[in-house]
Amino acid sequence: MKHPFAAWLTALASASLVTPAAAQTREEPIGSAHPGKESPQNFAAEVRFAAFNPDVDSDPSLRGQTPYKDTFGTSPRLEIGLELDWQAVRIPHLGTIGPGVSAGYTRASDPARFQTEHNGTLISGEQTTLEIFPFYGVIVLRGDALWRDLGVPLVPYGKLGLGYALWHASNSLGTSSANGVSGEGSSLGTQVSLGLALNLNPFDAYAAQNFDDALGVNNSYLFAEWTRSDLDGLGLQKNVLRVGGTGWTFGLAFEF
Amino acid sequence: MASLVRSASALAIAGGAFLASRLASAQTVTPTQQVYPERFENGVDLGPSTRPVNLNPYGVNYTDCIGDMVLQFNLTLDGFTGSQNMQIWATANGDCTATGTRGIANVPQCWELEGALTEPVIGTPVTKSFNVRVRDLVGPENAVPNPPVVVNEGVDACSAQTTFAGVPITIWFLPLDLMGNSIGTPYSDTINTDLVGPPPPVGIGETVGDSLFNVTWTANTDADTTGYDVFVDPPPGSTATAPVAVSDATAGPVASLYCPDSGTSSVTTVATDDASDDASDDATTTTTVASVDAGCFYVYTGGASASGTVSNMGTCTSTNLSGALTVDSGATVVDEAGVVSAGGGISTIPCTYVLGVGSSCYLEGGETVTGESTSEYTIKGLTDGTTYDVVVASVDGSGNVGPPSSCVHDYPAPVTDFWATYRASGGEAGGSFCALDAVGLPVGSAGLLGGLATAFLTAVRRRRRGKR
Repeated sequence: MKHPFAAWLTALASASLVTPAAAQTREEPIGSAHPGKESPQNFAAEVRFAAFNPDVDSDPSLRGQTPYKDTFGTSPRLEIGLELDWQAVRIPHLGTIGPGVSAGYTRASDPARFQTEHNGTLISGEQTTLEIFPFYGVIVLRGDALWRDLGVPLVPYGKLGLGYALWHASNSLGTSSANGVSGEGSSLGTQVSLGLALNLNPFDAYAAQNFDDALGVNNSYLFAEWTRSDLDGLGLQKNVLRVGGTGWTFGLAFEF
Repeated sequence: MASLVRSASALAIAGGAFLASRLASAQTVTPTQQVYPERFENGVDLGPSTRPVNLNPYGVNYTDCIGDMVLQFNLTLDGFTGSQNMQIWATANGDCTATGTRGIANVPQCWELEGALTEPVIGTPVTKSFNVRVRDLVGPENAVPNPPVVVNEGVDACSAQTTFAGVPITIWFLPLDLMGNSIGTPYSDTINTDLVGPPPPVGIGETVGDSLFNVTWTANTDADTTGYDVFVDPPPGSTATAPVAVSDATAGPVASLYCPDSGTSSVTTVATDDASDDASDDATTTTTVASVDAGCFYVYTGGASASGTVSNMGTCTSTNLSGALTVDSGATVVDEAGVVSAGGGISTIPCTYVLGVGSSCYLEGGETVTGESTSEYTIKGLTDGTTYDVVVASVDGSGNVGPPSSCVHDYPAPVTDFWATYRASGGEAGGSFCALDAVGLPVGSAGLLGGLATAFLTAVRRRRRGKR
């Protein structure tokens, strides 16, 4: 006799394998108060904004020194990003799962410091900048059963995958260089996120239906997400600038 | 019989009048294939334009006037029977065909230029060259000679224009009868003359970094400015000339004001060895190379810096300098209060101090920065520890460089940027975007990610195919 939990898992897996979300066209409510036809839903897109502080100073090779903090301070910088998810598989009474990719950009820039005091100040007219172009590829699980089955407009979700960032340190003269080493590189690591999205459809079901009719957007969300990007090289990279970080991301998401 | 004679006489008079009128209307002055007048300076043909296409290339600017440029018009004349003249007139009011505009029973609005043909006989079309001096063209603009005379202007003509907006001046090549009436078909060409540069930018500020100098200013809002020239002294890559004391800026021993002086900055004495072994009686030749600079700077002469350490003392408009800053011998860049008060005018700083200008001002003398709204520029490639004087002048659409702003001066100094701090702290990252190479793998981490993504997508597709 099978364990009930194992049976549930099996059923779940079978259902997920035979029910690709891309093939579905369902007549389900767009907004709980306004039943109507819904267009096929295969993808999700996110516009992401985060207050970001990279973990540069966590590098053990720095032995407790804090070059990032010393240069740019502790104030977080705005990170913007776009994410596109393919909701490849729909798991009934749970949600969707599929791959997602994201690209973003953030930069920290402040005046460089004179090596010795200059006219009574150490602040120079030269800018020193660290630009980071974070990318990640993740598996995204969106648990929209609360909304679809119970009408609660909340969608918890999780993402897990690999993170990768290109970074570029520069000053007013161009790419920085120290001891013959140019300030550019890439960092690899892990990416994990947990978030909660608030479905906006119930707040204006009529507009939501029009949005779907006109552009095929099924659901619109506001979301808050805890994100951990641990770009430590994964053991594959010997020397890594730790440009990942932990923080909160907010934004808008659309399923279509 | 008498009536017959009268009739014949009347017919003859009428026929003569008709013929005369036909002859009078036959004088023509027409352009050749030449579209724009050829430009000459000191007898050298500079072509139809001496400026880039964005800088009023076929107009006249201050530099053209100072260089005593001549505009050569090649025109074809025909139908002159010896009882007409061909005169050249210019006006800022558009028309010189009416007699009144040329001072006949009226206040003249046109002035006559050199090159007239007196009672020429030209029976078949002949091409002739007419030279118009730029100075003659622009000099009488605001003081048209009355009574009219043929003008022959000097260099003062280049300063006659009173507005920094361009003034179109029309040149007329007029066939005239002996009474001065316009006859036949004249030719005219209108040339935009702009001899006044825009007003200088204000609010000059500066900061420095490692081998760089940022200069900022308040962007002009006039209708003339199209960009700015940034002057730096010494030019990047050159060696500063030895400063010569001009006056003490303050009573104390802290600092003295120095301005490189014209005519004394570089003195070279060469001795010519004669037959005797006594060097003291060798003839010597002393060569003095004048230097011109764009501003002033302070040099510490007292206290702990007695050896003459160069140090910034703030901008030239600071109270330290007020009343002390005098005319710089080479180029008047600021008045005694440290500011330029002119509302227009022309910079007298040699173009070789314009950033980015090489040996040829004509060929390489473009604007340093374009766009009136621009308000900053970073000068790179400087030497740390060397004090640089910097002024900014506005440039108009004709390439006139206006008077310079007040000057700022400072010296670049080494800085420590984030990357230097990181590496100095023990960080070992960097050097290449292909960071996986650091551990000996033949592919970059981007390649690894790409491979992972490809593998994932392939797996998904296989699963979906298998279920069909």
